[in-house]
Amino acid sequence: MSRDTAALVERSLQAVIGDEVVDDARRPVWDRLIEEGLAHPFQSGAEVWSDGADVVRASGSLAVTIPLADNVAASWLYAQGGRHEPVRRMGLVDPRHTAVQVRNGLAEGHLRQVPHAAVSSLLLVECPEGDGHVLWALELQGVRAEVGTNVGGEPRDELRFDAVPATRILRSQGQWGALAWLGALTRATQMAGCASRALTLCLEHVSTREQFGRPLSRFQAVQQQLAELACEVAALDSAVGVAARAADIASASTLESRAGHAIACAKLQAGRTASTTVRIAHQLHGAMGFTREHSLHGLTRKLMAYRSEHGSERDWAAWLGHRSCRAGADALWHELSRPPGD
Amino acid sequence: MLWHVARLSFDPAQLPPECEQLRTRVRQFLTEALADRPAEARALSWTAFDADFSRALGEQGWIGITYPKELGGQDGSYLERYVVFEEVLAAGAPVAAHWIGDRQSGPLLLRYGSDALQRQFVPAIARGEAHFCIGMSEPDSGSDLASVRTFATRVDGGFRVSGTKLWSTHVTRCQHMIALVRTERDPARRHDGLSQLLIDLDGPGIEVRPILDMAGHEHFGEVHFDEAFVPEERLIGRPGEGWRQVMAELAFERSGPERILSSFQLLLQLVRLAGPNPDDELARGIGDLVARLSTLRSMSLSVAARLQAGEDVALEASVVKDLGTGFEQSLPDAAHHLLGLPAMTEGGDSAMRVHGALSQLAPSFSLRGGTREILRGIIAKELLR
Repeated sequence: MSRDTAALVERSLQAVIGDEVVDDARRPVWDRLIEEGLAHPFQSGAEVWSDGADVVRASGSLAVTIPLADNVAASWLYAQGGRHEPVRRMGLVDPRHTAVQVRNGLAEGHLRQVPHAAVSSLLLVECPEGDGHVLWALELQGVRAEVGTNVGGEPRDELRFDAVPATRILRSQGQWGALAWLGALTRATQMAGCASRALTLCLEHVSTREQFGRPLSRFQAVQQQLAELACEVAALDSAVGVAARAADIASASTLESRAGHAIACAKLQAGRTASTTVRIAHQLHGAMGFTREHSLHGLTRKLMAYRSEHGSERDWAAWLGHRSCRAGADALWHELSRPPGD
Repeated sequence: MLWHVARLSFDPAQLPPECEQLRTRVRQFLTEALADRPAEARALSWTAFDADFSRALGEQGWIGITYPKELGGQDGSYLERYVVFEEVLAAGAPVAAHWIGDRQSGPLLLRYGSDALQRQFVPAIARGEAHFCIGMSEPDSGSDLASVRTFATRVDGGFRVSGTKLWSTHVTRCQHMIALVRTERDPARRHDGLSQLLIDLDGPGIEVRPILDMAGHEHFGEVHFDEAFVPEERLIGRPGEGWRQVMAELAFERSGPERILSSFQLLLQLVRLAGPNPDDELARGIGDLVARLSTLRSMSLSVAARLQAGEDVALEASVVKDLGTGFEQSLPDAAHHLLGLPAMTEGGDSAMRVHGALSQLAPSFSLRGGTREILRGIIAKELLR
């Protein structure tokens, strides 16, 4: 896909979502998202993650409040399980917050941090099975939710249930399963969108806001902060791009072995970029950026929310560190320099 | 899926198969050539000077890879060059004798030098035999490079050069300096009237003195020019074009893997000391560093691929250098925080001596080749343009 395609995706998403905050996922917006190829941005039968990554990143830069990114990820996972039809309003549950058992097609258990539970048609959850993981689609209509909201303003509910229909989608190998990996990549990609938009807002603000008779951009102290921010934002775009390419050459069952390293790097960089972006973007915007009226908080609050979802820096650094130490010092450079998917 | 933000773009790049074959050959060569090299010597990486090693690398055809074949190069790609650069750095090879020549003096001569200068010096650089240093900074000119005062007066057949150049790396062991000098005394604009001269450092009127760095190594030095004669044909490019040429030269300096791998030997020691089953805290510390390096390498490789495609990557190269030097400087701190590893200059064990060497080298990482503040100023101004 070309650079223009990414910009095109962002424009068409903007046109569908509009400038207003959409927080009711039952509105006809989903029909339009499917019509425009945004809810299921894949070629049926040839679902390449990178094709979806543009939409996921754009949903971050536009601070979209409906579970579009989750739905794109769910579409990809569904396709990996041989189901190629467009899906809508599907959410991903972080396996760290999943305690579910499935018997005879019925699931019982407890889910925390469930995104958009009230409006989701299906929720994807992942449970350990043998030496791997099984991805299940749960139908949770009618299950009572304990309402929660994350700092990004998105529903993150808690659900308990003892017999809801569960459909087996696929099985994957590894320490973590396909949902865990794709969830981390999805959040990191959204965060790349949030952070890049925050940088753009900063550039606009310091160019137009004047103090002491000149634009803020003329002050060296401001320039140094801008550069530091831009470097971390660029690093996240790069890390997410590399992880997406790695995911392209993996299947659901080989995500960990072929793309695990790159995805862990991307989510770790996302956390680092989030800290830098929140700190610098708000500092540069002054009091204006701290108001509800300004659009900056829509991005920074999501960064603060997403960084702990689907594995924080703490989780992925431990995974990567243990892996590097197991391989040993003699293998470290080989691991760092080998081509993705090798 | 090609993203950019505010003119910055780091498209993921992949190395073609021939580069991976080249990597295997370079790795085999280095394993043998460096078999006896201790870890603390490897830690000095591209600041360690070893003329024999440079000549051996040149014999393999791995210096001046992108130079034309008729001038001793390989007509190779920037990606092949990238692979050789990162392999020698990761192995901790002593590359200082040829590094400056390979990376910037050769490319500068190829872009701006006369045919005669190219024929005289480029093949020698590619053989690893001509050792070049940079003559930019002066006692009163650091970040403010346009304020240089070393003056080259026109005389019959060339120039008489007077002034002082400072901080030139390994100047006592290099035969040649490419110096930025003022050829016009009071130009209308201070960036005008500068020129670049290729100067042999063993001639009359030239005095070279080492300066001990904070670790006590003769790693850089100063050169006094007192009416030193430089022949006309040693002028690089056009007179008065020195500023533009030097900016292009600095761009060669900022894009490479030496801005991310300078402390790699210490990361290797951390992984070695951690063993296969570290506790979670130590694993997290190491995982964080591995992730950072991995992402930096992807960025650096992306810059190399775009360089190969003929694109202008000055902005992206500055970003990699700023992030990369920050990472390199964080490694001695990490060794301290994660393991409480003593930093030693003698005695102790090799990990402690690697820590000692890099602790003392690390402050220079964000100074050499343009300070962090100058670099960030460039990045911000480019983004705001």
